[in-house]
Formats: sequence, structure tokens, C-alpha cells
Amino acid sequence: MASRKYPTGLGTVHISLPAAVAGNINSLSGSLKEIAEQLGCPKCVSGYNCRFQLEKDYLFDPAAKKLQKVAIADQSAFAAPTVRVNVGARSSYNLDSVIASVRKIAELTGHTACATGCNLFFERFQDRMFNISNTGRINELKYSAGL
Amino acid sequence: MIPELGVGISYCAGLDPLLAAQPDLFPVVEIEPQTFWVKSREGKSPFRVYPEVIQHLLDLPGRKLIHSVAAPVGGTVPADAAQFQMLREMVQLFKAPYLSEHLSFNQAHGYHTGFFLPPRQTRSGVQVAADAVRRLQDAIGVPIAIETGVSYFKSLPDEMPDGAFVAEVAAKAQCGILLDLHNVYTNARNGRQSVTEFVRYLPLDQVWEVHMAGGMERNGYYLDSHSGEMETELLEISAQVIAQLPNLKAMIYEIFPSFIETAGLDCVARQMESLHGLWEKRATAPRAVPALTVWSNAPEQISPEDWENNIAALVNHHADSSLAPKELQLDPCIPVVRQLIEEFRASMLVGLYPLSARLLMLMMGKDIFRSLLEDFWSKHAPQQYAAVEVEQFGAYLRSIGLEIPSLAAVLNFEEAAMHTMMDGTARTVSFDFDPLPLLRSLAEGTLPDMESQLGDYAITLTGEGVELLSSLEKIQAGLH
Repeated sequence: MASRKYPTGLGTVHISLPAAVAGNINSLSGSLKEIAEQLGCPKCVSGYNCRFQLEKDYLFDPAAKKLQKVAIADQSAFAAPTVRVNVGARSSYNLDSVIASVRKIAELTGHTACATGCNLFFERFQDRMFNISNTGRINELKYSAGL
Repeated sequence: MIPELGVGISYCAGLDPLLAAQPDLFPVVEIEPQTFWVKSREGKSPFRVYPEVIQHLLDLPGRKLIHSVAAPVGGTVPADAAQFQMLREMVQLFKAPYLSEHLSFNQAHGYHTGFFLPPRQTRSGVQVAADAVRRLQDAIGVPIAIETGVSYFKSLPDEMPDGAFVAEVAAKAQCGILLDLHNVYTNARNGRQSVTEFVRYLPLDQVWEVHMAGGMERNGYYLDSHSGEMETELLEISAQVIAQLPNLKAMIYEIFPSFIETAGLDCVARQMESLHGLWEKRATAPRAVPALTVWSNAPEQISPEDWENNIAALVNHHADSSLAPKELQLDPCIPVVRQLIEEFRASMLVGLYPLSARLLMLMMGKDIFRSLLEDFWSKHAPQQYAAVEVEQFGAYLRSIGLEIPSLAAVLNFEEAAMHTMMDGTARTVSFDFDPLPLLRSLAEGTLPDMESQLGDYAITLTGEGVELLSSLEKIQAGLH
């Protein structure tokens, strides 16, 4: 992904794309029937729609190494340093506190927004530079040589 | 006189290859019309259809039945009358001999519940439902058949037995019955009335249609998940029930679109063959089997209106359920139904904003993404139409100012694509980086390996091939 710097000023590159294929731009095979089904009222609803579960399985299936690939890609993709934030498990269910804490970290590092080239990346289970407690408090802050 | 139609399937686009390859399996195709409607933001005629999709539905094999999924008749909140014009036109265009709808409710007072919930099974509830059936029949102009619904809730002491309630509504409204045997079987598996007992209460000659489906166990409940293979036990019970139905016109198999991928079309074909076998067992002459009638004399503890507001609040995060009776609050189905609603809402999101959802999940991890959704659900009620639901989620995301690189750009892109699909108007979305590597990677389910090229880019989303109609008159005229 792009780090947020000002555009190069080389002029705008225009791309034209039918809206019908926007969600599936690789295969260019959007079906109007399927799109209509997505836009409309869900079918008879008294059971279970597994689409979200299928999507999670697709993205995070360890056998497909999707998650590992994402982690590696994330390290190399950003030109700017990535600040990792460790979020306490219960805190992650209090979104307001997580967002407030992440903003606070951004202020502490001098990176007020992604536009400065710093990406904040959430992780839960590993030691990282910052730790947000279950109450939303930042209780650890240290720098390493990597940053 | 309603003609005999035969065996069929509830249509979704994923079934097309099977419908094309084995049309003889499908003498009937049942269409759930609102699943193909777009709800626009314009007030007067808000519902639109794609003529290309309607033509495709007309070209499907067999006779067509119309099964409404957005105007249920079990609640005190009247269905959105703005949909009646399009619903009536669908019935006329497809020459459906009757319209079926659910004996459930999906609106509390002030919000959509996100799920079909069970009606209040008391004398007052019978009156509420009968009035709603009559309103729908007057609006559409064809006979109505009420579908027997699912209830994951425990029976209350003042409730009528499930079958008796359906029978009383059908008698009072003078309508037909769509006997969803999988729904009744689901209720029985979860501790409510047995299928055999349920059927004993029904006026069997008013059963015009039967629904069948597969289900699954989850969190201690058997779910009406429409997930593929029908249970052997259900098939055995159904054979006995169908042999008692002298006026059966159609028998429909249901599978939810997201399960077609996992179950496979071969499984669907096998289920259709089973249905054809069952159809042959239907009664061919009226049988004198008097239906039981039971009125509960117990005083009604809760009015239908309070019942709807209470259980809708209990199964939705955003509403205050503290005033609900303790008995309802303690029903063990509450977290299960709540989770089912959440899965529907999350599935709408990944269906319409797949790239934004993937970016969020890949950047945040699925657990924190779940927290984000829970926060959204706690603040916003479900929406009946998926496009409105995800629009609401987009506004929520912008309001919290989450620091996810490229999220705003991807969200703008998907929202513009959706709006263009809904009105055919071209839209241009600007980027300050080359968006295609990112969009392609997300379409493949990953983040890009390389940094994107910076610069000024613009994607114009064209409305190529997008035509929408707010009335079917033009299509109807073309058929004559």
C-alpha cells in the first residue's frame, strides 16, 4: 500500500471500470443477478447466513498461509515504519477506548495521522511497542532500534 | 381455482447451472421478489428492479410462484406499503396464482429486527395476523398463503399451541397455508410442538404449499439454516404429512445462497429428486380429518405489541431490553438468535463491501474487526435492505476516524460502485496512489506485496449495462 505523501504531480491517471465488476476486479465477471441479490433484501430469514464465516475462513485459513503472507507483506509493504500496538483482549471489545488510545500513541510518536508516513498496526497476542490495557490505558511505551 | 403446480425450488442465481442442465427437475420456480429489488433513496417509488434480471427470471423453467420476504403478517407494525405496487406487479407479471408471506414479524416499533421473529400466539395475536393478511390480500389482489414460521423461543404458559395458532389465523383470515415442514421440524427439535401434533390442528385442505430444507446444529439449537441435505427423519415425517394433504399445489425446496458453494449443486439435485418422490405421495382425494381447535383461556401476560418490542430488543444490541419480562430475558435462545442476526448483518457487509471488509480484517485481525462490528451493531439497528445496511456502516466507519491506511479510498470506491449500480450514474473516485494493485490484492484476499505507485489516479465507475425500472409495466407490455 502507498505511504501517504503528496501526489507526484505527473497528471491524473484515469481508469474506467464498469461498476458491476468493481467488487470483483480480478475476474471481470460481475453477474447482475448476483449483484442484485447482494443489494436487495436477504432471502427468507430465520436461519443462518454463512457468508461471513466463509469470508473469514478464506482470509485466515492457516493451511493457505494467508495470514502469514499478510504479516510478511505488511513488514515490507510500508515505506514508513510501522508502529505496532498490542491491545488487551477485553479492551478490543471497547472500541472507543482502542481508538482513543491509538490516537494518543500517534500523538506520542509525533505521527498525528497516517499522512506522516506512520502506520498503526493492531495485534493482540505479541509483545509490541505499546500496550493498551483492558481499561484502555496505555501502560507501556518504549522505543526499539527498529523504529 | 389454484392449479396444481408440482415440485420446485426457491430461486437464487447460484442455482442457474442446475436449472439450465436439468430443467425437468423444476416444474416450479419460486421467486422471493424483494431479494432482487434495489431500494433507492427517492421517496415516492423507492423500489427498483433490473429489467435484465426480471427477464432472466421469466425465462427460468417452469411455472413461477411469488414468495414475499418483506411484508410478514404476524406483527402489529404494518408492512411498508411502498412495496405493494412492485409486489402486485411481480405477481401479475409472473402469473402467480397466490402470494405467500410469513406468519412472523420483522419490525419492532421504530426499527427493523434483522430477522423473522415469532408472533404472539394468543387471541390478540390471531386478530393482529388476520388483519395483516387481509391488508396484504387487498393490496395485492390474489389469495394469500401464510407460512408457518420458526420460533427458537420457549413456549409461554398463555400461548396457544403452534398448530392451533396457525389454524385460527387461517380460519379468521380465510387464507391458505404454506406449511414449511422444515420450520415445524426445527421447532420440534428445539422443544416445541411435534410435527405430527402441529399438523393435527391444521385444516389440511387449506395447505396449498409445502417448504422443505436442510438444517444444522449450532450452539445447542437445530437451525433453519437452509444449508443443504434434508434430514432423513424430516423426509420420513414429511411422507406421512404429505399423504394427508388433499389440496397441495406446490412443494418447494429451499437452500440459502451462501450454502450452495459448500453443499454443491449435486446435493441440490438429489434433494429435488427426493421431493419428486414425496410429491407422488400426496393425497389425491379429500379426507375427513377434522382439525383440533383449542383456545387458550389463560389471561394474556403480554400484548402483541409489547411482545414484539421486548423480543426484538432482546435479540438486538442497540435496543434497551431491560424492561422485558424476566422469563423472556432468561430464554436461552436469546444469544443464539442475536448471533444469527449478527451473521446476517456481517454477511451483508462482506457481500457488498468485500474489499473494505477484507482490508479491515487483514489490517486489524478478525477479533478486532468483530469488536468493530459489535460497536456498530450496538449503535445502529439492522436494515432490511443490504444496500442501506452497508451505507449505514460506511457512515459509521467515517464517524470513528479509524486510522487504517487506504481504508477511506477503498470505502469510497466500493460505495461509489454500489451507488452507480443503484442508479446507473457514472461516478469518479480519486486516489493519491495507483489503486489497482491494492484492489486486485484485496480481491484475491491478501494485502499487496509491493508499495503502490504514488500519483494522481481516478477510477470512473461507469453505469455500463445498468438499467433500472420502478414499474414492470414496460416488461409486461413487451410480453403482449
